[in-house]
Amino acid sequence: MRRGYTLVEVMMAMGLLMILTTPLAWMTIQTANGKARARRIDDATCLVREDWGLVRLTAPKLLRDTVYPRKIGDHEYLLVRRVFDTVPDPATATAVIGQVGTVAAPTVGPSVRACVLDPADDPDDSVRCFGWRVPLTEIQR
Amino acid sequence: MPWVLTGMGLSMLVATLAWNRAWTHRERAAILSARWQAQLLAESALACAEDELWARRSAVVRPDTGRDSGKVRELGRDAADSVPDGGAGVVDSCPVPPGVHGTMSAEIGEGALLAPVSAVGTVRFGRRDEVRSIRAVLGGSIDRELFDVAVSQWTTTTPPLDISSSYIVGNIRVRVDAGSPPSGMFAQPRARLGITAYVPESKALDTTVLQSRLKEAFRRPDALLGSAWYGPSRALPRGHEVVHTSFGKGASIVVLEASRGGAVWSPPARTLLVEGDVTVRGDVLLEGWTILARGQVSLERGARLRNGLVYAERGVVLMDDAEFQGQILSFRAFSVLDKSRILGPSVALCWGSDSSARVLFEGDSRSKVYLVALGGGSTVEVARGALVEGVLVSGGTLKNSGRIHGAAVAGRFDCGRGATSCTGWGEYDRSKLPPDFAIPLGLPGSKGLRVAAWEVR
Repeated sequence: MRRGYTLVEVMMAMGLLMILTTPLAWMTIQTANGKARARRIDDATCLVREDWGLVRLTAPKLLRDTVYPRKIGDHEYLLVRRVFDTVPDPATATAVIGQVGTVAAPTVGPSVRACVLDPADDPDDSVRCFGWRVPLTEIQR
Repeated sequence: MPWVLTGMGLSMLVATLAWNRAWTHRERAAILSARWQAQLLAESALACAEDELWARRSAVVRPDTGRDSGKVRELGRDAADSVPDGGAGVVDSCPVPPGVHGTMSAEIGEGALLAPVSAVGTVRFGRRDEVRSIRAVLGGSIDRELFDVAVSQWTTTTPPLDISSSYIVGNIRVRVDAGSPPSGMFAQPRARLGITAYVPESKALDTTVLQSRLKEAFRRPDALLGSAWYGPSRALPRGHEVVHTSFGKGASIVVLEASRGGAVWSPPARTLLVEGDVTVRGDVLLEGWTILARGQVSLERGARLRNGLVYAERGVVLMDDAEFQGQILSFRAFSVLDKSRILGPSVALCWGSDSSARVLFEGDSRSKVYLVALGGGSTVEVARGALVEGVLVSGGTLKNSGRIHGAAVAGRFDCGRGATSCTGWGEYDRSKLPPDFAIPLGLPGSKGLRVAAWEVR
């Protein structure tokens, strides 16, 4: 016949439980964290892909710095797009690209930098940023 | 107690698995985002190539003087000298977009009718590089009004164009100097530019560059003398350029051949310059090759040339079941026979002395091509059974007994009935023109570029 647990055994079990709870809790938190971060990166990539599509459809001279909120599922993000324009400088008769430096050819199109922010997580830090160049030449689609 | 320990162990196992899965997911998400940035850099390099290409084109293409004789105005020597490489080369004018850590590069391939571009973007992720490359073919943008025709005739005829024996789907435009066009037809919208609106202006530039390149190559000390046969058992000489000259004694003949039914012979891309004929025969696949020849270039018995540039001073022939994709500049004649295929995007230009180029599509050939036969004496013939998807432009005559799915533009149409101008017994169907057909670079009035082919790797 099976006997009942002694007080010592129960106390030992409780002790073990307490010892194991700490890493278990840590792992659970980290798991949730990891999943959330992965989802945020996926969402950011997805949003920038969408923005890249929008930029492709916009004439280069109409591109402007933009901030717009986007929602994926229940999660809200902010997409911040900055346009670094190649502008002719009449004083020096050269082309200047914003924040990068001078370029030899004045025919280079603008650059776009799109960052995705998660206001719920850290409103000052971006989840992911991407940058690309836009052709100045009219490309027929 | 054992149950408590088992429960604990199981909880730990589940938590570990979940933890591992979550962080693997994060790693994968980060890799995908790095890969996307690499692709954006490749796109950026492509954008730079597009801008550079357009800038070069704008620098060399001059406004047309506006005659509709079907002849192309030759560009001046100064224009040719200003771009001696025809626009090909590495694009190095673009910095990486701000805030991006990576590299990008682009290279424009040879040819003035279409521009093959390869662009690469690289982003460092951890200890490895994420590399994405794009291979694109750029053509000119389409003036939709100009190409919204099934049949377009540019010579005024009396009696008017006879369309009764042809099957035509699409608009018919005829040149009318006075009065209104016959019923069911429209007047040409661009009488000032005429048929030259369909002819790339870079033609003269390209041939001048290629001719001088041939001339210089045959004088080089590393030029090989006489004819040669190359195949799987006889390797090509080292170096990117292979030159065969005859030093003015007869002509050298170069044959690239692999037996049929065996393994496909696919030597790496080269530029072959020959003072004579070039024959590519059998199970040979040439990818990215440039073939410049003083004689005839022929592709036979299953030979395939993709993303290629062919310049031949005595004509180009595709026969048996050969396949071609790319650009052709052919003097005198261009023939697509038997079961040969021209795959898109492709552009072919044919011209002859005394404006008498001859182009023939015959047998069961299938061609996706923008073809221009220059000169008022040139002839383009689509024989019964042949199918052309694209645009056919003949400065002289066009005779169609086969099928043209796209636009047929000619000085006059001919069906062999004496002086009568008629569209023949063939089929013209503008509605079946593939939406992605390639227009050559440098058409007069072209306002930009168009991506004719695009592949990401």
